[in-house]
Amino acid sequence: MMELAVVEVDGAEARIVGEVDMSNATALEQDIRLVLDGSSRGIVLDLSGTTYLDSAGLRMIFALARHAGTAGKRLELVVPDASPVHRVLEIAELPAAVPVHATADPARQALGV
Amino acid sequence: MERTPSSPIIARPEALPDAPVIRAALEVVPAGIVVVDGGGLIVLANAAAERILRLALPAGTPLADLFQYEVRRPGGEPLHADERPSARALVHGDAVSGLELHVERGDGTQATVVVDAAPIGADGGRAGAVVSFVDVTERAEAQHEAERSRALAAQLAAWSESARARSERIGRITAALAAAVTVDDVAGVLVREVGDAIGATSIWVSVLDGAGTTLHHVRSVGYPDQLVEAYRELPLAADTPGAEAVRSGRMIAFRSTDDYRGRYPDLALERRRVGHESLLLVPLAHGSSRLGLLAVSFPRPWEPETEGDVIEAVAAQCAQALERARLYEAQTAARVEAEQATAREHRLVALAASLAVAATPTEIGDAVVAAGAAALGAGAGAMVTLERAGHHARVLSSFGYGPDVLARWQAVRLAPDTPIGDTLTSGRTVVVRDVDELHRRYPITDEAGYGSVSAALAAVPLVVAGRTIGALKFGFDAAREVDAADLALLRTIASQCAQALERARLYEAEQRARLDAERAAAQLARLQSLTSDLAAALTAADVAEAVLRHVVPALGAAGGAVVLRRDAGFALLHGSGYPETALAALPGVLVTAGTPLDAAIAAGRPLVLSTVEPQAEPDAWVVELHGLLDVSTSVVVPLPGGAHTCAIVLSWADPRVIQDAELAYLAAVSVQCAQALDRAGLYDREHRIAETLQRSMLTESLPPVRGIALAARYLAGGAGLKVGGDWYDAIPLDDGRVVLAVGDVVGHGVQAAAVMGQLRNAVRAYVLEGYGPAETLERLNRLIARLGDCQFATACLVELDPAAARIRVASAGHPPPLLAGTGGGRLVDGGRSLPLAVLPDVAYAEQVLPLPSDAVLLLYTDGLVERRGESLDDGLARLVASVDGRPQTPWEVVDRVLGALAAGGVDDDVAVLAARLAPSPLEIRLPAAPGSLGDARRCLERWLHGLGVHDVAAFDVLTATGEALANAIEHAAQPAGIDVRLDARVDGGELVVTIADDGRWRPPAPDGLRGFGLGLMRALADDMSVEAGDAGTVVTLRCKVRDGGRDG
Repeated sequence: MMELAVVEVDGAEARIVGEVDMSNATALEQDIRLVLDGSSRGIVLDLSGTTYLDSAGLRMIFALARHAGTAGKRLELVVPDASPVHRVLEIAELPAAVPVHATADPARQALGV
Repeated sequence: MERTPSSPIIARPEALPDAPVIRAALEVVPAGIVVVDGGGLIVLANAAAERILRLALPAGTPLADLFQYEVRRPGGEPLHADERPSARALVHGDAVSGLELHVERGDGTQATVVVDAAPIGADGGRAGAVVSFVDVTERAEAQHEAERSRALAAQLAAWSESARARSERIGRITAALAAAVTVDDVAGVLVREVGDAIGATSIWVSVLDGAGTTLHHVRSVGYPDQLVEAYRELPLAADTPGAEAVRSGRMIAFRSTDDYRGRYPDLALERRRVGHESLLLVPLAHGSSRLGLLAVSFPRPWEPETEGDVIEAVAAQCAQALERARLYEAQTAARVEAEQATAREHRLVALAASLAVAATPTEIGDAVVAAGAAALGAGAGAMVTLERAGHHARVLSSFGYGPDVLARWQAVRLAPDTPIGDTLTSGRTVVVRDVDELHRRYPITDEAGYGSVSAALAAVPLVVAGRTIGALKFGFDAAREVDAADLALLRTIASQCAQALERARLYEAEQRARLDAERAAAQLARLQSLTSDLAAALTAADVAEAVLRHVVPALGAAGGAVVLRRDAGFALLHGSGYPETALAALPGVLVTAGTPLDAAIAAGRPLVLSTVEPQAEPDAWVVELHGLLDVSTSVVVPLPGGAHTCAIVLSWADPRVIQDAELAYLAAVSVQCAQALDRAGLYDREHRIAETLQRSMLTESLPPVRGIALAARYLAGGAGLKVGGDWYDAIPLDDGRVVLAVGDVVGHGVQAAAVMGQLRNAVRAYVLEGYGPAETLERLNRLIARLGDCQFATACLVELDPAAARIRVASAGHPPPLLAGTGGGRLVDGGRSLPLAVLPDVAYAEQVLPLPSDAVLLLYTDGLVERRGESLDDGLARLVASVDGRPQTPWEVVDRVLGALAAGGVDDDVAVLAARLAPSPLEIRLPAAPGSLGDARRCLERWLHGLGVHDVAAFDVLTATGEALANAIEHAAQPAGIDVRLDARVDGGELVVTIADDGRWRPPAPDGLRGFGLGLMRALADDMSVEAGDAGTVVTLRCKVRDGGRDG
């Protein structure tokens, strides 16, 4: 049973491990923004450890993508096909707006890291 | 013989010194010497002179005495007395020397002498003369003999040369004649060779015709055209020399024009114009047969001595050659005739062969027209037949005639004013040799306008048993004689053709009869086949389908339909062959009242509809019907009697005559169809009743039972045609228990359905009265015995107590229930007894056993586990193996079991009923704060797992619920701290989650990023409803969990 999510940062990569809902989405967004701002080209946001993501989590991702876009940076998502989060992202048609990769490597390549 | 010169001494007598010496000398001189004096008297004549002249010449004889003897020159001319040498010497003083003369001797014989003479005396004093002469008679005769011999030899040579040349020419003529094959060849040889051979300028050859009455000119040369024309045909009896010569067999010769004029004064004028001097008319005859005439003209008088034999020889040769040529020509003609006859024979044989295989009149026509045209060299040909009424012709086969011509023949009423009309109406052969004759005999005909093929024509009737049934007509490209042989051939062809046509007619009739018989047999066979197919047809649609499946191909129809009368219109039972759209529209077209169809059905008679044959005014309704079906012929056959008023509709695209046999077949089909429809009507009603009964009794949605999750499925076997006696039920009791029942009544149809209904209701009644499973089965067994229609039935009852997590099982001959738990599947073996209605009183056993919280209990009917060719144990083993040890919901178990055992459909009906203990409804109160969300999700997740809901299915419920909770927290009325209520329960196959708060529902903003929550709820839950009121807002989410999750 997973608990509320935390962000693990490794260079230009941020991993959300745990559950995302309205209680922690804003905080997570702020943490990741810092990582994004500190990057030169953008970041890889890895959701493979994310066990729950609701509409607040969706808003967070869209907001981060918009933020990266205005800064001329990229946001590359990593979401495994079997992840329950995948369904939520598809319902929101997020893959049409933000690049989504099944694993981390193609995401890093897309970022040019 | 030398000439002896005369001596001048002797000529001077005065100079004679010694007369006796001179005399003696003169006597030995061989020459004759005569001396005369000036008076002409002989002075001296020696003996030689007397010997030579055979005349006594005594002195004193006057010289004139000698003149009585003839003296001639060597050429025979008489020598005048004055010219004699003695005279010339005496009178003129001339000296003559060596003059040769023929003289007559004193004895009358001839002698030839050479004479010298000299005068005696000088200066013209004529003293006398001396004449000497020697006899050269013998020399001259020899010389003459030689000359005559030479002349004779020359003449002989000339004669022999001429004979050789002539014989050569004759030889050449003979050779040429030998090479001449025909009469014309012979005549050619004559005109070329004979002229040269005999020096003739004109040659004419005529031959006598076969009848021996007329001489026909063959060849000629050197005669003017008028003459050739005048005598081209010369009757043998004519009074002309030519005819006369042939008649008499003797040559007639006119040696000169005068000769001709004298004998044929009337004809002399034309002969003179010709300019010939002589004319020979030579008959040509071989033996006693007269062959012809050879006429030869010369520009000179004719000498029979020199040329007669040549002419005769040539004539004889010519006659031989002519005879040969005539024989040859006769042979050739005979051979050609034989060859032609053979060729015709072959054509006729070939025609007979092609007629033998020609089955139809048109095939016969093709063969006959082709054969006739080939045999006659015709440029066009046609065979026409008379139509039944005999007023019109029909062209069955033709070539060379244009379509407009043929159309006119067929269109025009027959009359004898055209050749073909003449032949057809009179039955006579018509021959027209050229266009002029055509116009003369058939003034109104336009045959001449038929192009080049009408220059000549022949038309022969086709006659069978004295009746004209048609005609053959052949047209030729040019004017043409049609001779007896042609006509004979034409009539033979016509006769063969007529026979073949008659044969074809008989054959056709026979074929028709045989076809009728075969069709009748085939239709009988089809009827039998239809009968067996109809026996298997259960519904009216089946019947219609079977009928059309037989009838449409049997009659070669384009399409067919069976329609059922319904009130004012028709309903389509089944259709085949027609386009879908036409079938859909068909009842609409058939509906019209007052149509022929209406009348036909009312009268019970078949109706044949045609939009092609103008047998009646085309009915607008028929036109519409055929337009819809895109056909031109239809037949509507009403079905006899019965409660239904049905009709079979069949259509053909092409115009077609519906045969009586076909109508008879359709009538037979309609009887069968009507009976089958009556049967099917009964079946249809029964099936509908049974279906209705079963549907009304099988619980469509199971009742909600608190604490228990249920799932049920009913699969109809046998393609849905039969209604079985399988049933299931779930009966909740007031104390929270529930009784699950599954049963099976043997048999199908209304009765089985009715018994099932009674059993089901009886079970319900007994259970509600408080009887346990075994007690219920005992009562049920007693009840079924009293139902009269004693039906064999099985049933299984399970009482489930959720509070005790325990089941009580009793089975009346029913397959054992399955328990699918975490340990896998196992069968409940206890509580088994006899089937119902086997014995009147049976004590039924019961087994009580615990129901694990994660196990699913499955009841089913035997259709699930029974397979043909497989034992029941095998089926049960497959059932047990179909479930694994995973925790599952009842729906998951039902789907798994049916997927493993009934994926390919089931033979018999199958009923399955599954149940599992469900956790108690979830009831959570949580503070309206974001921090509560995680705890709420975890409570709900645990509850879902207890229900057997996992993974993605669980995630969907959690997410949807999380959104609803977040919404409630976010929009909850102030002040914070008011609880949000979360309730979750299982209702039938659904999870029902309600989230209630006391705040007001605020729809999410349509723009921005706030609208995701509602979208997620709608996407993840099967149903979402919002009740917003003053007291607060309740969101209800319903999620079906029967198939274990949407993605899974």
